[in-house]
Amino acid sequence: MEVSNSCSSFSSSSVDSTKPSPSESSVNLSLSLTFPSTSPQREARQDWPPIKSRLRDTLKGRRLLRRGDDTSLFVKVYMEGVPIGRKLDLCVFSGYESLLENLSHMFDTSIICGNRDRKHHVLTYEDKDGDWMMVGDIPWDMFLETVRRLKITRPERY
Amino acid sequence: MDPNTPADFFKGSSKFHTYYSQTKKGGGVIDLGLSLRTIQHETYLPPARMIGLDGYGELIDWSQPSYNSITQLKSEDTGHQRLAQGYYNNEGESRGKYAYVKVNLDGLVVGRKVCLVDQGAYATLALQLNDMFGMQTVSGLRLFQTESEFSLVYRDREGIWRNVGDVPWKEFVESVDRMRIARRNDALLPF
Repeated sequence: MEVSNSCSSFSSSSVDSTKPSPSESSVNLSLSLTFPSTSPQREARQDWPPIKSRLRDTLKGRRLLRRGDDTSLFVKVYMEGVPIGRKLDLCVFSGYESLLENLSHMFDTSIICGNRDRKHHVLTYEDKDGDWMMVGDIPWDMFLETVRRLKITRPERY
Repeated sequence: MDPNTPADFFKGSSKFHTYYSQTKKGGGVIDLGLSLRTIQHETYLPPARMIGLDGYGELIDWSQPSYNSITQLKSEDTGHQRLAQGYYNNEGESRGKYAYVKVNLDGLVVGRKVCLVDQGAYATLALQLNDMFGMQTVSGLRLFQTESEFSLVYRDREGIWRNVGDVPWKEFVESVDRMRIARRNDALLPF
């Protein structure tokens, strides 16, 4: 942490130009802080904005929250045997039922989750730890917090 | 970080005091000597607004010249930051409302998650695990039975793998991190 003499930074002088309204200035600053990566030069500077690491972490957490509060959560979906994947916005679904219905229509196959069946494809997901799990065991909201990508597994593969 | 806190607080208070005394003199707007490269608009903050910023001394780097511009933003985002702090608090070690743990059967890539709060006993846990994985075996898991070919082990909070069933249920629920259904026999049986 750099130390500076605070007394020398204060001086008195008169300025004739009119000041912009505080709300206008704060809006600009808010945008600047909310999207710090808009400028590569600013992104490279670790000491900007002039806030301490704790507040910087808080703002980062707020950004994560904002990302969580966004109305979109796109994840990749792969079907085993199909080399090209799809992308899906999980936030448009209200739960597992609508997700399965949409995936069955998207990939033109019958998909189940929660139970293992040797006749149907099974929906699995990779979580934040990198483990592949069966879809449907945890509540939908918890699933949205941990899902990284989806895979539709062939019946004979598990 | 702790040794720095008092110094930072004192420094912040000192700056505020100096600024306030300057304001009382009048004679126009105070120029804080800000560099033109770092600020686009010089915002005049009335003294009353500055008084409420004492608590933020630990968060703002007062040694940088543009701190007065940040304080304007700071007062507006207090509610959001409180929400962010709640976000971090949720990552604590407490079991919390849900008690989902991962379970894997040896040989299977895809795991499952089990809510231990729903069980209440080892017997019901064995039943649910059999519902989840029993179809992968010829005669079911039959956990906790002598003739079973499977044994249930769990990894506790310290990373040590232990046998499920050795400790009371409540103690087990508090310490389990994840579980594994292991085959007693090392030989790979065809299914």
